[in-house]
Amino acid sequence: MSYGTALIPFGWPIVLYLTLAGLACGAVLCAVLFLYSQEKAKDGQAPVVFKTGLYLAIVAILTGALFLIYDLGSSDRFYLNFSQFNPSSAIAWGTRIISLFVLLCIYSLILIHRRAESDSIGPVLGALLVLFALAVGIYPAFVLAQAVARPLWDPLFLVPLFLVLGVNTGFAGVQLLTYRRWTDESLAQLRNVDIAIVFLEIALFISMLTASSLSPAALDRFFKGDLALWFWLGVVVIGWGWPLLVSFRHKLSVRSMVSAQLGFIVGAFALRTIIVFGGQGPQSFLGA
Amino acid sequence: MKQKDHLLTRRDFLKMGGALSVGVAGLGLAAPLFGNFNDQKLRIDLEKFIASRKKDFIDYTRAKAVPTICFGCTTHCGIVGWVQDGKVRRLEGNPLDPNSLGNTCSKVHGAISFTYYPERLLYPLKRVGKRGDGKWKRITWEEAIEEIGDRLKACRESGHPERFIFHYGRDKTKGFTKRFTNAFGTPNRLNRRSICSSNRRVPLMSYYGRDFEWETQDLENTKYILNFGSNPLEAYQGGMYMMHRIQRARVDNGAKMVSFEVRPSATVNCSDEYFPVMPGSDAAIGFAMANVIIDEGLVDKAFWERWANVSLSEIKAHIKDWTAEHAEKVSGVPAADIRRIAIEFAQAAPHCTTMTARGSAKHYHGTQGDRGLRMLDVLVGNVGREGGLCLSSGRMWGGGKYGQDGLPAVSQPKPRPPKPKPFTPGTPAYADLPEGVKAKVARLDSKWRNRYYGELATPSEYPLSWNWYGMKVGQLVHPYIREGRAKVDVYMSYTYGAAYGYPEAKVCREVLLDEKLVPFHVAIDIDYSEQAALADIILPEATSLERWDAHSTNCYGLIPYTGIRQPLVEPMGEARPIQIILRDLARHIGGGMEKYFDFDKVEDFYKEWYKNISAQFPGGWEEFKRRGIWQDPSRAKDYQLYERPVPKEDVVGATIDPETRVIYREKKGKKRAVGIVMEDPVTGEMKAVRGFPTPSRKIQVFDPVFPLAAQSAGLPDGDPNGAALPTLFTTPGFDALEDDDLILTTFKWNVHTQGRSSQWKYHAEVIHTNQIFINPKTAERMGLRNGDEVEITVKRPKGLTYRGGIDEVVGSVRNTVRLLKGVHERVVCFAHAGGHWEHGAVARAENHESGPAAKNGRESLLDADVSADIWWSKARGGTGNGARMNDVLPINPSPLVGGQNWFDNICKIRKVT
Amino acid sequence: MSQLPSIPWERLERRQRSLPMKRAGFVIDLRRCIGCHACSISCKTENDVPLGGFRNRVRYLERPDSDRISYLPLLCMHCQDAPCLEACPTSAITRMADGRVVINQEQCCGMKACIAACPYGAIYLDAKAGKADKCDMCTHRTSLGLDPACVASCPTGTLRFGDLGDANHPVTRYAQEHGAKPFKEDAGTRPSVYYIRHEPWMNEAAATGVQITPEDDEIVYEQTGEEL
Repeated sequence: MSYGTALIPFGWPIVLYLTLAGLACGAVLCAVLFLYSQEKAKDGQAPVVFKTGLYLAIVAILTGALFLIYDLGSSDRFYLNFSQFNPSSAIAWGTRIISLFVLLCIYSLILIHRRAESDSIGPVLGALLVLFALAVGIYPAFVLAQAVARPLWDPLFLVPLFLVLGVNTGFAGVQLLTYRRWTDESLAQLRNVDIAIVFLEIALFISMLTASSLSPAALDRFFKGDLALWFWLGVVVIGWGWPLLVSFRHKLSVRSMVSAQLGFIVGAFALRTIIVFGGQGPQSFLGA
Repeated sequence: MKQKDHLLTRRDFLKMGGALSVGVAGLGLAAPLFGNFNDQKLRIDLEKFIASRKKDFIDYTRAKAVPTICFGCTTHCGIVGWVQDGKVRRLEGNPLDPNSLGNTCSKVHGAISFTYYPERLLYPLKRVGKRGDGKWKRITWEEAIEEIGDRLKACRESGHPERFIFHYGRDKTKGFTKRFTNAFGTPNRLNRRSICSSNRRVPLMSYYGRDFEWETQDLENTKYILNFGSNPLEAYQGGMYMMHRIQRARVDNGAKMVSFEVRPSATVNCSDEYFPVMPGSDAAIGFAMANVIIDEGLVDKAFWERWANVSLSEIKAHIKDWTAEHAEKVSGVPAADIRRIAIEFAQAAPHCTTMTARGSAKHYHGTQGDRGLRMLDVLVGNVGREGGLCLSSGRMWGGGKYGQDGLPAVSQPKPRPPKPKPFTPGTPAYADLPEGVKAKVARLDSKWRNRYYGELATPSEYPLSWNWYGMKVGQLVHPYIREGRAKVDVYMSYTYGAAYGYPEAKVCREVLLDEKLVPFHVAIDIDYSEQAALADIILPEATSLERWDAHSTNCYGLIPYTGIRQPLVEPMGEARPIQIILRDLARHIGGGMEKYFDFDKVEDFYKEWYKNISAQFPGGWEEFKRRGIWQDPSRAKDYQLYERPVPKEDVVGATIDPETRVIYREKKGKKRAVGIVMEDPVTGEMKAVRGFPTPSRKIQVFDPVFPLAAQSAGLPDGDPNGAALPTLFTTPGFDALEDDDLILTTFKWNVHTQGRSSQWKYHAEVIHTNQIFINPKTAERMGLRNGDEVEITVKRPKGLTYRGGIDEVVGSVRNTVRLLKGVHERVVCFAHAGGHWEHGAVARAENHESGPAAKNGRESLLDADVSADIWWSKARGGTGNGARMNDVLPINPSPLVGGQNWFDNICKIRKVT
Repeated sequence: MSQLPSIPWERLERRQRSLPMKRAGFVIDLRRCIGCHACSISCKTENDVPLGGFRNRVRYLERPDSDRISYLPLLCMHCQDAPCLEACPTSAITRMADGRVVINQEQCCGMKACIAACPYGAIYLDAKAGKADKCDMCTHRTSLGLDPACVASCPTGTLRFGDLGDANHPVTRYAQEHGAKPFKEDAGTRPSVYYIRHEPWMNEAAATGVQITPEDDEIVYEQTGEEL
């Protein structure tokens, strides 16, 4: 991974941003889901999860934005992203989407704090939150996909994969912050969701690799080249293997589920690492 | 096709998907996305875009263009420089230059890099510690001139002016420095021609009487180029004018080029056929081809009989053993191919030409070998013919002797100093010679004994290095000084890199560091070279963009021309052009020297020098300066100069030798051949024609100067170096190579020049290291892979010439290997120009400055670009600046001529573990 | 002596700038290239390109079918359907009247999306400025009727510049006569740079190092072939 900006324009700050943006997307989805699905339970949990999710999303997306600004090399040009708009650029849309997303989150939080008694934000705001969360989760896939010279980054697979990764990490993040409130019932639900997510990720990742026109040398990078450690340890063992192992155990403990959620976050980061770096570099360039 | 479909879908999908994602966001702005933004034009106004570029950008509406001559290498192409705000911003070819036609290589742009090199020398410096310690103080020009001038004055007045050595690496003043040394009285204006081209010039001079700068292939019209180890598409300095002509000949005229080389050079890569050959086997191929041409009856008999000075049957008998089969054995080129190519070549005559250079010539046997290759042109009769090998000098035009009559005379302003006196018995200089040397001089034929100028200028064992003119043997200067063959008072290095670039350069460094051998060393240089580091005083010189020079060379357009180098800007800092430095020294020395340097402005001197050229222009000197080039395009091309009639003024009072029919004319008591009487091939009438400027006025395939030189130099009888007819033999040691012996050959990259370009930042960025190239098969045998480090150990060569020692090896150097198909399996290719330890940050591949420039009065020397961005520095994880090769290459002058045998280095390589 | 030839360089003063071509483009005749780097180094000098960045570059490629090397000069392809132009978030990349694609430095924020988007690796990051930069067909020259620096410096006629939108332009005719084609056409970007005798294997070799980056010492100039 030492090829410099011409062959590797997107580096670590981008990987971190992508992970955090996904986490923000998932956190909001999780928050809204809890707000509506658990309304009937009236156990007072929903607003807590909701607030946690939104706070998490705001912190994550703003931290991610800081990485992006760092990547620009100079913060005094960041304003250009707002003063200039190129409607065909995914990043240009993304800038607006995350801005509105943050505003929506803040507005919702204010609302929910004001209406201390109620735990509803109303259907319109809820729908908007979901829409923007999805947009935040999806648009980075288009940022990568606009690099048409990098065959790995095919939006057909990147969009669902990024969404699944986002949901996965976002849910994991919210769960981790609220694990003290977990019940046996919610643990069981969580397990089923986890298993589904892992298999979905595996399926999407495999189809992305097989459908892309990557050269054998580029594929080798994932399995035995410079990305192999990230793949085998980060993705396969920590991101997929460990959560699965935990999920299939008979007795679910809070501690093991916490470790599984941590595994998800690490795994998603690793997967995004190999997608970002595996998509670039000489072997993975168009025509190679 | 699958991929194509997929990607197109992907881009469509992208456009849709973008819309989708926005749609999801519910912003309702999807509509514009379906438009094709790529078709939207003119989002930026032209003036606005121009204004957005960097502030000090070159603006051609206000920059001033001045024509001058490039000094990127020794080819000297006409160029035009664009000056804005007192700085040269851009250089490009001068389309009026009939040689380059405006086509120049990358080296042109180096002048900007080195003129504005942050570590350039800008002030005179005087060492303060021991010589070579690298401690300096800044002094004024007055102090410098006084100290050097006093030394020189003492030397001159001691009666031993020859103890002043002026040694140059690049001197293209066309004789200005010689004016100084002649006025001073020293013959020791030494050069580096033996390092460069002497083996290659001797065959030309022997055959045709002059080297004519170079032979001038009529590439515009040729159909067949037979290339023996010459590389004009990359680094054949003096021949860069050939590159655009060769490519046009090939691509537009369908000419065929066949190359015999040891590595895939640029010329090889553009050849129609390439044969990797064993180094030094070119001559074997050439002799084999000569045999084929004779046997197949493809000789141009009329030409041979008219112009060769030996009969065809005699040649045939002489070369009959050197057959295609023999050549296959030594070179590895299949005999059938040799036959086929020889026939193709001869059938293309006269639109065919050989092209030889260092590759074939820089060997122990290279002079004789190249004489063999020269024979091919004579056999097929392409000499001087359209599309063939022409001879068209540009050397300041005393050209009448060989048919270039009617050119305006260009010569240095008068008064001109006399030449120094030869070292004949009775002179103080002769008395100064060691007894051993006197014995060697006594052995010389009188032809040479009466022109002997000491061992440095006219080495007695190498009479052919100074038979035609003083080519000298540069690489022997330092060992000879060490041996005591010559004494030194003042040694002046002029833009000279021997301490880095000469074979066994450590000998040079040892001698220069020894204050007994060299009491005073002055270096005139542009930046802090390895040589300057060993000086007592360093004088900063103006660069080629800041000075005047005369220029003329052979023209590949075959019509003589001349050009002028003129300053585009004032010298940086206190740097001064060489003319001012030498003028001021001459004035300080006095004693009559000063009268030869009677000019205030350098321009006045050149204006006088070029007065006959100025007279050709209606606007005179100013018009010449405005164009930078003079040529009379209405002149007939220099075809068949030898058939041109001897003009009447040369015939008057001439005598004709009845036997040889050579026409002699007496001038100032000296009998000189001016032509030959020949039968007109059509009318049968006898006519006085110019012929060739050889003693016989014919092409001297047979040349008695070789046995004479061998005898004078004390070579044993029958030694093939002294053969009068071109003779094939092998470099000693090459006939008994061990299985793992390899031949170390050197080469120059197209972006570099004579070890003086490593500080050009953009060129160094392209090539900054010099890992060795070997054939993958060789590597496999030795268990080597790309990037492995190896140790290269060079053996001391054998043979009847100077040997630096009796030790078995010269030394070892480490480097990494790079496998490359196309390199001959016996060959190690090691590029010149790596491993500098001076010349500042770029050449040293460091992110900080070095050398005396660091304390030169300027605050920050390195601009951020140079210091931070030298990405190839080891500190930034790069390869660094390569390995230092020259210390392990032996001093190896070829017999009689003294040309360095660069490609005779038998070596072994060993993997470093 | 006959009439003196005119002096080509004395015709620029006070000239108005304009871009008269319909579709400015390059034709690169690989049969003529000798790999001399005159184009790339002249470009760097002309445009003051920092070390480590390249607007124009010459690749040395080991031929798969012989023991020789082929040369491949590469620069911005000025695609008619340019992915960089689409990807740039701040509209810093624009097209000019004659179709050339340029980066307006004042509007570049340094996001590098264009670098990622370019199938030809033709854009570099000026590390000090933190901005993307690339060939702009030497607008400061070509708008005055001069050839771009690389074309003006090419000693063998390998690089040619002209109006590909004008069927009668000598460069267009030359391109047609010799079957010039853009390369990596699969990327679908419709480049305005056409190559004569570009061979399919070069796609692969060039893919990896259209522009070489400083850190990548493995494939500097003299490195060719399998590591690519």
